[in-house]
Amino acid sequence: MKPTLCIHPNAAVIELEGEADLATVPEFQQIVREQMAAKIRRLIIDFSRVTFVNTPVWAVVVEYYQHASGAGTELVLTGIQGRVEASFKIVRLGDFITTLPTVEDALNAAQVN
Amino acid sequence: MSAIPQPIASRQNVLIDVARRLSSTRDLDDLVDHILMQSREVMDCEVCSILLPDGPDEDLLIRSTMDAINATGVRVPKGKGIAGDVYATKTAVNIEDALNDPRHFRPKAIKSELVARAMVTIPLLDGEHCLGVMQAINPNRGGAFNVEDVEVFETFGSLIAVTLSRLESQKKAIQEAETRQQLTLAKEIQNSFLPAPQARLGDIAVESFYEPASEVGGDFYFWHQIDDGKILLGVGDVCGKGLPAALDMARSTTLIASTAHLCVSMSLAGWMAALNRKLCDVMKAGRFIAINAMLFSPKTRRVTLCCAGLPGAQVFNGRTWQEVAAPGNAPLGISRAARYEECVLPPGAGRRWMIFTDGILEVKNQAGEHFEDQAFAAALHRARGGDDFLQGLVDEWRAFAHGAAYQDDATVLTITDHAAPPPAKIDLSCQPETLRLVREFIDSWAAWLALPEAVSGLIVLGCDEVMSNICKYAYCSADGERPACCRVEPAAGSVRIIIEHQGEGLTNGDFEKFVASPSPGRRIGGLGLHAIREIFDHVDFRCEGGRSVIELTKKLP
Repeated sequence: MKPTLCIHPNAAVIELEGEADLATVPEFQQIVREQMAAKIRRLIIDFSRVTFVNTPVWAVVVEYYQHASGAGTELVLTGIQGRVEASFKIVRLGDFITTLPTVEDALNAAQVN
Repeated sequence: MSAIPQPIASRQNVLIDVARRLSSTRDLDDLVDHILMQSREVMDCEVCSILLPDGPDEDLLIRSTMDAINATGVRVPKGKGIAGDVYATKTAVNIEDALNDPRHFRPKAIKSELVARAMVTIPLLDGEHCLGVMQAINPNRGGAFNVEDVEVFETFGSLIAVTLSRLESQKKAIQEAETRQQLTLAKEIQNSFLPAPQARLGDIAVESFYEPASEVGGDFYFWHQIDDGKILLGVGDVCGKGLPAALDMARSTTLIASTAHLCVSMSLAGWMAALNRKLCDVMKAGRFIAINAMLFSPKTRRVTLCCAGLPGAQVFNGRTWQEVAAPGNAPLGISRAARYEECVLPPGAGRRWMIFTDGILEVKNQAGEHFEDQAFAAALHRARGGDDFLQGLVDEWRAFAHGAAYQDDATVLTITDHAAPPPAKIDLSCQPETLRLVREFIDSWAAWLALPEAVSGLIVLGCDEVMSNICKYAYCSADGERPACCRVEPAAGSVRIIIEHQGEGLTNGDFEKFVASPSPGRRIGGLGLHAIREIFDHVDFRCEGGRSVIELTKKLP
């Protein structure tokens, strides 16, 4: 799985696809850390085309969340469904990370804010 | 009219001729007419008659050498007249003046001018059974019949009795043959309502045993593969026996065949309720049908069971046969308002199921014991779950019932899921790129066990977390093969996954120390162990023979 990055006026969107596992982490982590360095206002990570996510991948998400909390930027996860949702619930990230159904919803929310 | 009795030689010739005719004739009417003509010749008398019982009242119907009597079909009521007396007492009488005999009875239907003076009446005996009587009236020579006449007449009568008996046996045999033929035809017709006794539907094998107590029965079995691949099957037992039960059986199997497709979108219990309403509409009051039905879904490999008036189903769990604790329901055809409940059996419960009618359990041996008392459980135990188990069970059932009359129809239907399990284990080199192989391996077992997606997804995640940790930490500094293996051991109500590797393993103490609940401020790490603990019901880290072993147990819904 190769993560792809799309830059929008108010946000950056990382789209994942297929199975997100340990083999995915290095490239995903690199893109995420690049966004930290770029000090973007909002990062959207889209899981709508992802069929599996394990905790090493969530750890990258948590890493960005912890960075965002200190840097005053936002993190939104979109397209959480199926096995991704089951995994998301197990690690309880929904308790503190914002989720929205679609990337469009997240982009619209960014415009409002 | 002759005044001299026939010579003995002449009488013997007539007797021999009659005997020949008697042994070859097959038509009773022809025979009787011939007998009468010959007997009148032998007895040299005015009239000869034969009186045979006819109808439920056992009136004696007269056949005579006098056409006037034959034309009106004259009958003598049971016990009336000299003939009735001889028929009852089975004793010959020789009367010189019949008109003045107190037993004399002249049916009103007799319109002839015959005046009976002398009369000899003999019973036609077949052992103790009286087949009728014969009368010779008014010797042509005048006066009465003498002793010799009576002896000849009785000899003649004994020949006739034997022949009548033979004809009666032949008639009975013909009637029985016709009945047998009709029953054989009925059996063939009834069997045409039953599907093939064995079938292979993909991975599913259906096998049946069906034995009606008589030629036609009220038991039946059915199986139908419907549009979405589901298989509806079951056994039924119509109350009563014989042709009425067979007709209800035909009606039921037809209704079942015409409504089976409803199970595509309807629950099994819903289908039973619909079938019950249809049967209530068409069945006579007081009649009902007990049915145990199963619905197998190939997508989920689950069996749904609905029991209505028959013994519970049995499932073989890999070691023993066990009765399924299914909810009981009323037989069909009694009340349109009856409600039906079902139960669902996961593949973990077993892959071979059996349903049967009560004729299996209720059969008695010569000692008066029922098969269900002890022999059924013992037979299941011996038959176990092999492919020939049904034959084994049937053999034991037949041996148990040997010499005893079967009291009821008996039917057994088995369904076996022959889907082969995935490989028991997978060996791999533990690399980030190979972890998907373990996920695929676990997924293949989840599919075979027909686990719900919510459960299989979590088990896949939990195993991946273990493998990821081995990859990251147990083999963190190791190059080379990094061997690991994973195997699945399904058990009743749970599944156990064993993962082994040769890297540095955790202990249970380490597990408790490193596991961390997620929180926003907590240092990243320990999420995998948290997921493992959340997902599995039991986790054990240990070292065995230099290998690190992680045993994960998940209870199944």
